[in-house]
Amino acid sequence: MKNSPLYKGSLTTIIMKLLEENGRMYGYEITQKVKKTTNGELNITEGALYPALHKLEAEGLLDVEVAKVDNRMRKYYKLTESGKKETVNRLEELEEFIRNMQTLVNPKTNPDLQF
Amino acid sequence: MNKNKAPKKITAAQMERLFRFTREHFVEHYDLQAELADHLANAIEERWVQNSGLDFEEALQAEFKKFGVFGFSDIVEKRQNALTKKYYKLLWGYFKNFLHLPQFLGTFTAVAAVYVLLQLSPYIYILFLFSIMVVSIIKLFKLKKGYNKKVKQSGHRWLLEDIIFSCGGFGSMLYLPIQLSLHIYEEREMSALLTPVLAILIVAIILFEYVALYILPNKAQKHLLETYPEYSIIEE
Repeated sequence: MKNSPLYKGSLTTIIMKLLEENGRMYGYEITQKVKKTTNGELNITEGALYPALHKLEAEGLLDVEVAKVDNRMRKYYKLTESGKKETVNRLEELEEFIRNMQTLVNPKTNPDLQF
Repeated sequence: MNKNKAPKKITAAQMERLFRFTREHFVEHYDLQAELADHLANAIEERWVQNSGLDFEEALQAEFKKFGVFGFSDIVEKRQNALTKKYYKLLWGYFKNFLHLPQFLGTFTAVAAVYVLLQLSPYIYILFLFSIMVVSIIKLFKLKKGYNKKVKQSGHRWLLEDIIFSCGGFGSMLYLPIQLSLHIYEEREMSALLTPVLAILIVAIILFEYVALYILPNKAQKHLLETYPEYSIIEE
């Protein structure tokens, strides 16, 4: 199980990307989805997930819906209009970060640096 | 695992136990209790898919361990920070209205009136401050009394509602003006620059107190429904 600090800065972007793909999701579903997509390599801890969701909600990037499932209240999160725009920005930023890291870690793969 | 058998589900009594469990671990507010209880219920049901014979309490403890050594406290603290930020955003939203036309004309007139009064005597500043404090304390006391009664009846506390009815901690807001009043009392006069500054300060405090003690508690229902879609179902 990998849960390196390297992933921490990207947690909100991961959450927003998942919500962009899946519409609305609840907390437990997000943890399971990440686990499944990464074959158990990445594990979002509960202690990090909920503060991130609540922060995004307070910033107006997420909206909440409640539904009764199996006789209990379930809180779903979905992106607001500004959340959708912010997801595009954050994904671009993350992709740029990944490209830069690849260039730094493995300069041989960068054609600009080849002679 | 027997595939024909329906997966084991959390019962109503077990759900009540999960709510109690969150309360025992210092989650005071219903909004967070419900979210964490549902999370634990999902996680326990998932464990039962793998091992239907697993004891409920054992599964609960194993799932709680995943929250780390601090349990729910970190989530509670950060939720408090997020909603406090939201509260001040709401407060500023209403306060800002007084700086826009047409309300700004009223604000400006109030500043001018206070300015004229302050020129009569510097002690008027202390009188203003004292009056604001007395009115605020009486209003806060009434609000708290009504709110505590409501909480007692419903049995639920909602974090944003708690914050709204604490009225933004107006005591700390008065710290600087009180310090200034001590200075004025010692000096017994006000400089030409200080008088307009104090006039603006007095009006700003009155508007802040008005928003925190009157407008926001009156509009609480609207903001609670926006924040908690479940509020209307639970509080009916």
